[in-house]
This record gives sequence, C-alpha cells and structure tokens, in this order.
Amino acid sequence: MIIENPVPPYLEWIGKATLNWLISVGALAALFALIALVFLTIRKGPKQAFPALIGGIRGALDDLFKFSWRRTWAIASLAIRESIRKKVVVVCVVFLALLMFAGWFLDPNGKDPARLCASFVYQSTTYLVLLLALFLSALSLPSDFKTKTIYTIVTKPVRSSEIVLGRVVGLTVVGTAILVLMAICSYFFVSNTLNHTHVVGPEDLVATTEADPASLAPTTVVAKGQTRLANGHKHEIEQYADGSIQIFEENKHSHAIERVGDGDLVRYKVGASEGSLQAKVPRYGKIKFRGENGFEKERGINVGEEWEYRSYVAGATDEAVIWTFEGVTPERFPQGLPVEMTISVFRTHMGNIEKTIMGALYVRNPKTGLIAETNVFNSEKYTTKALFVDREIDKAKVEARPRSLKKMGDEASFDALAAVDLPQKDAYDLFDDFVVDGKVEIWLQCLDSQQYFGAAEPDLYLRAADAPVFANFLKGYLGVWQQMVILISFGVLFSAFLSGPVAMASTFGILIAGFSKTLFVEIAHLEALGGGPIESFNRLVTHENMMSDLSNTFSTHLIKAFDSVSGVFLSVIGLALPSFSDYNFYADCVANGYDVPWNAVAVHMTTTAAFAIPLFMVGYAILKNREVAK
Amino acid sequence: MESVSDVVVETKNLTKTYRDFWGRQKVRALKALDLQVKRGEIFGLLGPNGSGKTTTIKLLLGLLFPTSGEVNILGRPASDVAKNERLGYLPEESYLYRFLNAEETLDFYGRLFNIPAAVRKQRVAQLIQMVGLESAKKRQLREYSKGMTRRIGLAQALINDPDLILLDEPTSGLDPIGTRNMKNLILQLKEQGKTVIMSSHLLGDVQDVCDRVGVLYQGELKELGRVEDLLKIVEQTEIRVDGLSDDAKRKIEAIVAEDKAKLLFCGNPTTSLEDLFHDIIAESEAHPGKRVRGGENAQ
Repeated sequence: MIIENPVPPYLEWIGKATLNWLISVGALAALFALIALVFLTIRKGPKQAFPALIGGIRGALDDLFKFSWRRTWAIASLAIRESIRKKVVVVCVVFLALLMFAGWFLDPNGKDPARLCASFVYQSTTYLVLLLALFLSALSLPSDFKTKTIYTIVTKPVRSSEIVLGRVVGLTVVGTAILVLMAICSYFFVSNTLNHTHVVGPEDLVATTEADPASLAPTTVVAKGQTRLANGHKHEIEQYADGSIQIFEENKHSHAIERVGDGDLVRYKVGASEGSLQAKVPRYGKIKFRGENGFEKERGINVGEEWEYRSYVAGATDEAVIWTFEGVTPERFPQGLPVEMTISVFRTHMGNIEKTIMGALYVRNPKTGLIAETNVFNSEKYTTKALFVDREIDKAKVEARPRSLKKMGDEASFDALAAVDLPQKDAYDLFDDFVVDGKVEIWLQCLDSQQYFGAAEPDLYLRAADAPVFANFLKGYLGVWQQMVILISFGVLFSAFLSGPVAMASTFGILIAGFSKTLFVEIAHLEALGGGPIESFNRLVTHENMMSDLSNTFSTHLIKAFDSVSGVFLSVIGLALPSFSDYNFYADCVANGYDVPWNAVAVHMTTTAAFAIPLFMVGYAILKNREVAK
Repeated sequence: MESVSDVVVETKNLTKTYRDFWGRQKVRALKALDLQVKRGEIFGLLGPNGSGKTTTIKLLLGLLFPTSGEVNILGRPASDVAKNERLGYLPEESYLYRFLNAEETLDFYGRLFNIPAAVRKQRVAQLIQMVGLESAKKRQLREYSKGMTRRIGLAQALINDPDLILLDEPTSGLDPIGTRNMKNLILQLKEQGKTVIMSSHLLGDVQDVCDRVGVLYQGELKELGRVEDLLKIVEQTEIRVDGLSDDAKRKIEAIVAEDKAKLLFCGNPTTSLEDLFHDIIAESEAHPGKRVRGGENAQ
C-alpha cells in the first residue's frame, strides 16, 4: 500500500500539533476579537467597545461554567427525533438500492475484487453520509429561525453553547446510526460478492506419475490440475502421494478442499473462499539506502520518474535498501520473520521480458554487521511477495566478514568494522546473532546487473498476527465518521448566522476545499502553477499558459499585489481548513487488506476534536450575539 | 411608593431602531419607552398593528437587543439567560415543533428547565388537562387546529410554573369560546399571584382582563393607567340606585334642576375601551409627538 504521508507516532506528534493548534486558534481568536471590537465600536462607540468585549468574554466563561449536559442532550434528542420524523432513514434505502445495482458495474472477476468492492462501499458511504451531514447541519438552525421555534428555545434558560453543541451532538448521533447501518450492509455486500466456490471433479486432476503412491515420499506430487472457472478465475491444484490435496492462491484468496470417497466414487468438496478480506497488521521499519561506496544515504538513485515516492538501487552492486526494525522479539515472532514486500522494478534493458529480475533479502545485525542471505526471489513489479526469514539460519548463508555502513564523516567506524573477523558458529539463530535489543536490519539487493529495484518505507514490512476482519471493516468507517463530525461542526457553525441555502453552499465549499487542501494551500502561498487566483483568472481569459512569465506591465504588478493580499486571506482560511483527503487512508487500509492502525485513529480523532472545539466556540459566540428575532 | 422588589419589569428610555444591512435606519419601532409592571398585575399593551407591542415584548425577552435604553426583568437585564428560569412566553403564533406531539412538546420544554423526570411527567399531565388537550395529547402538532395550537402554546409557557408570563396576542385566532377560556386562564393566573403582560389589538379582551394598560401608537406610549381610570368620563356623573323612594328622587331631581342640569343617570358612566382607543389614535394623528395623557402619569 502506498503511504505518501505516514501518520507519525501519536506521542511524537501531539506536542508539535498542540503548539500549532494553539497558534492557529490563537490567531483566529485574535482576528475574531478584532472584528468584534470594530463591530462594537461602530455600534456602541469607541469608549464602550472594549468594556463590552470584555463583558462578552466574561459572559462566555460564565455560560461555560453553567453549561448543562441535560439541556444539551434535550436539544440533541430533539434533533434526533426531528431527523427520524423527517425520514432521514431514506438515505439508507438509497444506499441499499445502490448496493443492489452495484453488481452491474463492479466486476468480481478482476484481479483484486476485494479491493474493488471495499473501495466502492467506502466511497459511496462517504459521499452519502457527508451529503446527509451537509444538509442536516446546514439546514437545522435556519429552519428553527424560519419557523421561529427558536423563540421558544432561547426564552428558556438555554445557553447558546447548549443549542450549538446539542445540534452537533444530535446530528452526530443520527449520522453515526446511519453509518453503522450502512457499514453492516456494506460488510455483507462485500463478503457476499467475494464469496464463491469452485467445482473440482476427478477428471480435472491429471496424474503426473505412474508409480504407486505408496512407494513415493508423502510430499511427492502425484496429480496436478485446475479447478473449474468461478468468478473469472481458476486455482491450481496439486495432489500428493499421501493423499492430501492443496489449492493454490489466486486473486488473493484460497479455498479449503477435501477428498471424499475412493476409487471411482472419489469426489472433491471445495469450501468457501478464504482470505479475500484481510486485516494484516504490518510492522514498519525505518528505511535508508546504501550507496555504492558503502555510504549510508537517505535516498537511493532517481531513475528519472517524476514521482519521487520510491528511490532505487542498482543491481549487482553493493547498493542496498535497508529497513531497520525495532521491537523484534522471539515472543512476537517465535518462528521467524514473516516479510511482505511490494517493490518496483526498473529495467534499463528489456532482454527477455518474461524473465523476472532476481533479488535477495539479507538480515544483518545492526551492531556487529554480521549478515546472512536468507531469501533469493524472482521479483514481479508491484506484486506483493510474502517471504519468510527462518529463525535458524544456515551457516553457509552467513558471510565471513561483517558488512558495514559508512556514515559520512565517520569513516573510521567503517574501516574498523570491515577489519573484524567474526567467530564462526555451526548454527546461527536469528534472535541470538542478528537481533540486538529488538533491532534488526533487513537488506534488499537486486542481483541482476543493470537492473534496478525501487522501494519506499512502507513497501517492506513484517507481518505480525492479523486483526479480526469484521472489526477492521468497521474501524475503516471511523474515517468517514470523523469527516462527518467535522462537516457537521462546520454546518452548524454556518447555520448559526447564515440562511439555509447560504450555509449549505458554504459548508459545501469547505468540503470541496478540504478535499483539495494541498492545492488550496499552494494557491494561498502563491506556489501553485499559474500563480494566485487573480493571476490564474487573468491567464484563463488571456489564453496565457501556466508556465510563461507575464509581461512586465503595471497591470501584472497590480494582479500580483492583489494576489499577495488574497494569499494572506486564503492562508488564514487554510489554517481552519480540514484535510478531508487524509481520511481516505482508512478506506485504503481496509481495501488493501491492512489493519487500520490505532495510532492513526488516535491522531485523526484528536484532529477531529481540534476542529470541532474551536468551531463550536465560534458558533456559540455568533449565536449568542445574534439578534434572534431580527 | 412601591417597593423595588414589587416591580417585576422596568424599562427605561427603551428604544429600538431597525436598520438595514448598511446600517441605514429603516424604522423606529419603539421610542423611549418608560414602563413599570408590578408583581401580581395583568398589564395590557394595546396598539394597532405595527405600533411596537411585539417589539416591546421581544426586547423584554432579549430576542431583540435595544438600540438604547435599559430593560430590567425579574431583577436582571434582558440579555441574562437566568431570567428565563421564572418566565413564561407565549409567542404571537405558537412557534412549536410540528413533528412533536403535545406530551413530547411539553416534556422537551420541561427538560430545558432541568425539571426532574418525575416532576416533569406530573406537570405535563396537569397542563394538558388544564388546557383541555387530553384527547389529542398523542397527536403531532401538525394536525392541530389553530385553537389547539394556542392552547399547547400556553401550556409550554407555563411548564416551569413561572412568576411572570408574557403573552403576545393570546386570543388571536381563537373562537369566542376559546377566547373566553383563555381570558379565564389569564384571570386564574392572576389569582395565583402571577404577573402577566399581554399584548393585543383586541380591545374587548384587554378591557376584560387587564388591571392596567399602556397604549402604543407608532412606537410611542400614548396612554398608561388603570383600566377603570382610563375609561372614566370625568365630566359626567351617573347615579344608579335600587329602592330609592320617590321623595328622595324628587329631592335629587330638585338639586339637579337647581343646577340647571337634567338627570339621566346617577354615577360615573364608562366609555368602552374601543372608543378610548380610537380617540387616542385620532388625537395622535392630529397632534403628533410623545405624550401620555390621563392615567397615573397625568396625575
């Protein structure tokens, strides 16, 4: 799975994130206070403006102190009841209808049907739930204003904070209930679409030897064949001398098979598909590269691809991609290390295109430099390969001299290590000889000359035990939930001072801008191709391309000046803009068969709260100062 | 002099000007209103449409912010949410959630007062019975007639057993029986020692229930006083006696004749509030400007 922006460990992230948050919220609060001061000066005159602002802040603190959960919950349950009586559940019916017809355009015969189905259900749920959240949140308070029911609320001892929070909580409960329903329906849809079996008859297996099976070793293959076609694929089958039979993996799943009866009455019973949906728990290491001279590097060679996600090492040289893993203990991996990798291959000459490129995997002791070649493999581009590093390592595989990594400016350590002769042992143990304080290095080398292997940090990982699939499927929906909460918070905020349609359009604007936050920030910082908004517009109408310099005229300077000013304004908006595309990570994890890491959940949950809290505060401040009956 | 604690509502120089988006003055809805309402009285705000009655009530409730002047309600400023604890409000039209039924409506508003569940249940049942909606308590308000909606509206205003009740046009849209019931309810509230402020343009209603009235016209207070004082025709005397002897009658007639007057009736006759109201309007149009005639302020 491609992870371009890995989620940092929570404890590393929280300190810096809190600081950034405080700065952003502080800046926005100062801006808000300034606007309020200007407004108050116009309304009450310069002398009374400041005391009025202080009074407002004190009132807000007082409201916070007298905040009642019971009243908030009363407002929330009203929102829930309103949604139910207004038949919000219809969205679920739309979703079910969508699933019913999904079969028309989802091809279960593809190479990776699980990914296709899971992506589809996550995408459609995200769109439906976010649209629902958008409508409900942006229209709820305006409809109270329109029908004037708000008069009967604010003339009760209800604080504006309780009205805003009550709405957010109520709509979140409604959205959550709908999301859970959709998640359960989706799970059954996906597992039902993927579930299939194959027919295998005695005639599908062809004997490979005429010898009496009893005279052969139990693991000798006596018959080979294929299952019949189902869901667009067949599986290879092998039968062994001891009578056992095995089905091989195809399209990322397998089946159980059982032989029933004997002689002419033999039948094969094939079970349901297994492992279509997975929740692999990867343990990632830190990546570095070894250059040709043994120097440690942060990145490998650039083979000229524009996308710099992966970098490359040359084949048949000393270059290697190195992953350093921590926390590798015999308790966690009693049998050895299950390694999975998905690497890229770059060929400088095609040669025989059918012939795959050879590669090798090594384990190395990061302290002593002791290294052993554990696996040699044929690589296929972007195909996930599962390898196993056994616990016992053959002494023939262990190199006589340690291989070293030279740090820039620390060549002495390199030479010292290179000169060491390690004591030779008869048997080597992975944990005793290669792991130091839970740390081990895995090296990847390309063995074919003039060919290259490319890798990024998440491309190779240790596969620890798998997580429960259904729980992971639900966990994937946390991403949709978090987006929903942020959107509801925005919707309620806008609806506190805008009319329904305008609040909806504004919330929709946040959604669109949030999905392309990177571009938005680039535009705000005037780093995007084609310049700022006004310059881009100018290029559009004058048919100028994005790259060429604009002529050095007064109007160009004026445009650039306007863009600089609007850039500041957009940067401020950018601070308050959530990055919705970050949440695709959840769907990607589930669709690619990975467990959603709790670390990411914690980081994103904190981010969600970091948005919801200030939005709530702003919504409260606006509603409190709004003339309800105007 | 009244003690301060007896004054439940007080406005000082209360003014409201509506402005458009650009801050330009659109209309002055209320001009320098000075008003005091005392504990236990029924005060009527009277005026034609657009005279500032509803604006006054909204300013008292904090639904609108005054352009200038002050409001003190139950000893607190109008912007203080805590005043709502002891206050009930029936809006012009019952603005309630139409997807709730009567019980749910009252229960919801009860929860906003943090009333414990058991007390709430009892109070909801009692109010539904009081406004006579027992047979319709499970029906959604969207199915209610106008009269029923007014009644449930009144019930929600009383859910917290308030000390002060503001009723905006309480009898509007009600049939004669509904109007009579509403007026009886208001009088019952007075008996319970509650203070009621009601606005209306239906003069008969105000005359029947209010102790004091204030007449508003074009945002100005034109008249303020006790209803019976306002309606008294000071120039005329009306004598109405039961069982007066002919001799006594002759004596009275003689006295009247001596005064070169003609005895029609002995006692103070009253005008109808309607006549008074029309007089005020006519006079205001003839002589624009703020003034309060008659009543307590004139003394």
